[in-house]
Amino acid sequence: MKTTSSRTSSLTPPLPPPINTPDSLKEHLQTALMIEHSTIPPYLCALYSIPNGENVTASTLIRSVVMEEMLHMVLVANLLNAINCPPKVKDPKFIPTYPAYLPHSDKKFVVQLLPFGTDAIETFLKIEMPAPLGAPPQSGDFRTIAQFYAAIRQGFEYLCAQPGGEKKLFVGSASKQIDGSSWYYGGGGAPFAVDSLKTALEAIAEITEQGEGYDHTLYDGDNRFGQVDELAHFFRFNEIRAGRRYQATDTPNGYPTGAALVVDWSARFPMAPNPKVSEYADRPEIHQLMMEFNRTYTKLLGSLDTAFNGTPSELLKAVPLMYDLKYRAQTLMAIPSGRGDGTTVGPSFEYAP
Amino acid sequence: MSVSQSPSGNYDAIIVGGGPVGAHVAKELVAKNKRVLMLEAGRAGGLTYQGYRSYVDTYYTRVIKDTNSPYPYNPSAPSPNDTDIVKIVKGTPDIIGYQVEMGPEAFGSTYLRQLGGTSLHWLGTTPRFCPNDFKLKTKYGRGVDWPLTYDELEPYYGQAEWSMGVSANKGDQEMHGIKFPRGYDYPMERIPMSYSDQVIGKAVKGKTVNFSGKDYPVQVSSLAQARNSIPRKGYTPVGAVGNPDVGQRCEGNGACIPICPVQAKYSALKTIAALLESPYFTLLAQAVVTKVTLGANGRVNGVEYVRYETEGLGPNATFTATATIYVLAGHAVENAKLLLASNVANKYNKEVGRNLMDHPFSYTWALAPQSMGSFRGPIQTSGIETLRDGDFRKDFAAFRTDVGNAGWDIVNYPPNGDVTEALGKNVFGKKLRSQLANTLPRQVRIGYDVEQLPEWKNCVEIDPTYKDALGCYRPIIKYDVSDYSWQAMVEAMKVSKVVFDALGIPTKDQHFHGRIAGVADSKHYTSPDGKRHPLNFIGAGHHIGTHRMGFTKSDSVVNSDQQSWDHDNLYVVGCGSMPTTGTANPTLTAVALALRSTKAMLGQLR
Repeated sequence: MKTTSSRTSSLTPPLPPPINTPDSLKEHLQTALMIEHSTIPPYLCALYSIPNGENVTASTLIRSVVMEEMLHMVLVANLLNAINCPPKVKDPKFIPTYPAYLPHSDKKFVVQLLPFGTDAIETFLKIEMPAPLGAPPQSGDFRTIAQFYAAIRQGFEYLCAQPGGEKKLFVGSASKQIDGSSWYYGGGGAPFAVDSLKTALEAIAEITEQGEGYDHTLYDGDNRFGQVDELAHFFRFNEIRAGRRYQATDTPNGYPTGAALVVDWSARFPMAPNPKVSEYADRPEIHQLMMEFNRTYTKLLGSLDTAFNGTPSELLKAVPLMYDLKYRAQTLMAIPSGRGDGTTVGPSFEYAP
Repeated sequence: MSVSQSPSGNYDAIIVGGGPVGAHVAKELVAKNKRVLMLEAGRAGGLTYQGYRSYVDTYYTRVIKDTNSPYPYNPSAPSPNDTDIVKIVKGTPDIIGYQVEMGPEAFGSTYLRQLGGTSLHWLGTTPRFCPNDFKLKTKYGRGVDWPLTYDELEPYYGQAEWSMGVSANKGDQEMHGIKFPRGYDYPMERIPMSYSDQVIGKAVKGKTVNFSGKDYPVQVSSLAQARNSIPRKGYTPVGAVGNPDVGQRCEGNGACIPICPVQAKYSALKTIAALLESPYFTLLAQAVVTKVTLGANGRVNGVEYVRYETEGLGPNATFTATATIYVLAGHAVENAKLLLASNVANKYNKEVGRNLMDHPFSYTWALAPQSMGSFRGPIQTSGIETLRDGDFRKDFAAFRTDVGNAGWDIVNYPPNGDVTEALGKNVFGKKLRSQLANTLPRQVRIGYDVEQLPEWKNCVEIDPTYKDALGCYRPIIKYDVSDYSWQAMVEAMKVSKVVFDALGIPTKDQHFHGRIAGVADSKHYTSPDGKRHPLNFIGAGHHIGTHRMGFTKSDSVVNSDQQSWDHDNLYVVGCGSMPTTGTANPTLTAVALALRSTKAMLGQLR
């Protein structure tokens, strides 16, 4: 993968951007799919570690972010299918081995599987960090996810600017697109079909604005898509960290100054960080439960893979699997880990076909 | 909202009651920029997501999960509870709960005084009435006709279905003359039929039952339900209040009654939360209307209401609110109570509070030899709708057949009932677990929402002897069931027999009456031929007919616009306006009637 940043100068003819071939675009979009997915297990660990009825506002905020990450996966799959590249989801290499860096990031922080707590929220803030004003697009070793998507956006624009480019690029089958009409649902908005540069750029905008905010504001700009404007992910996590809601007069650079958001940091299952099935080889009951969780998770990835590759109705099967996942995770999180430090077992999110 | 402050200003309309009917009246008036004040007797706790979650948390902790168990007890605006209903001993009124029951039969239905009303605990079943339900007298010589027809109400049914969010497929609902306009469809696809629906549906295919000399098919079909499913074009499902990401689809939690934990089921809270965005809408909770007052010209000139801060404790303050028109939407029993307490709407007759009806719900149960996959999906997804109309209605009542998904539910409250019974037989530990795993999925329960005719003696009354903590009247209920309905309950057992036999259930495992683990209460009916028929029934929670609409001011309380015959600026809306019960769960029809009535209201406010 190329790692150069885009450079332009008024004195020399513009260089092509780092993503300048369809193959490179496909490769980077598949990476984007992996990035979107890599955030979901950590978010789910934090979410599931909050027992039913505790920290309602915090868990509602985290849940809303997870749902939007899932929407992002669908949108990236639509981008891939639009340029006729099959999205790969059911693959051992698709799941990071936690603790892990975000795929192809600049490795400035690790992402871990942690229970709800200040450590987890700090990491989430790093994941969703808005790009600094004027930050360059980065096709590899990216600092923020937004900069990585900016490079993808440039790639789309560059390829479409070539003679006949848009027509040659968007050759995917329309039947593989997942839109909001039938199978997909849940907050985070509705996915839409990608079949042109315009819709591709809209999909990229939706993804980055839900994460870091629209045009350097607190909000995701979703009202342009017929949805309610919500706080972008970074600011939702910042509310939890600050224990306070944002109000209308707050700015992205300041702290939230609105109503208090009561967080009980102790109301959680104290799951031990980054569990692994192998740790419990000598405890067959736990080992089996962890394996069952991983098989369910892998099955879920299989459903997504099938849904993204021509059978959108398969998304319906993912719904009960998500419930199953939650019940299995919370079962694990209630079992003492045996480490003698008061921690409990947790889901390991490992590939188990 | 501050309790000490009372809203001031001129309102176009005051709506008493924040349930689905009041909410829809408000929605239509506010849409036309009319200033609306809604007075709700209960608290407004469900308007925040956290508040609603606290109901769910209460529900989790309750051992007896009856209809009002999730909602905080409120002595300032009490509600009847299932646990207060007992068998009436002749001559001894049941005064345990809020509702005073005089009998001879117990009126086994409840409602809820809380913002959102009974739609917080309803099942969400939303079939339309059959065209013949509107002309029972003309067609079958029974009861009375409605002063309007199916065709006149039809457009408002569609409007109600889109407003509440009903999931159904048109084709499943087209029977007994129920028709839809070309191009209409429900806003969402039908909720999938449960596994047990499918097993029963397959087993009874082609089977019939003979009523009054005519064969009727016993056929399982999907029910219309106000629960979110896959939207059709042009509709966006409405999720939980304050957290719209939640409840986008029915999750099959199976807790519809008493509370949908994710708010995928419609409740009036959704409509009211949206109304609160409008400057034309004012909501005042904890405001118990005690009196409708009249001016010298006989028109309503105000409502008096008491506001309370802490339930059951003083000091409370009394206020008066005024508007151009007044709409009582406080539930059939509460509307009647308020009219009686105010001594209004009774110039031409004594119909207020009379003709109280319900759908007596009789039920049968059995243990199938094979797993039925019970306890999957929402409480009810299908019914046997083929016996909702037919010539037999000359002889006995029609009924909707409820094919449940919740095992023996009201029979013995599984699994608690099963556990209690097993423990009584000294079964515990592993054996108990395997016994439960073996029997619970095989439980089948078939129930019947039986039509009831209007009768003057069945009524809501008031008496100064019975008052609540706030000094308001408690409703006194006199209730009986006539041969017309009893006979239908006996005939309905034929349907159960067909179903149970078709499933290959041995006779010893088929139950048509009796008690299990001391929970189910058995009654009996002695038919005119002297035969004694033991059976079980409870209330369906469908309070109908206490301020019925009619053709003339002598036969009814309101006209077909639900406008009082006596006071032209008073509307009394809801299930209480229905002249007969038909067999359909009544909320959808009550909302459709309310939407229709808003045309007349807006005409008056022009």
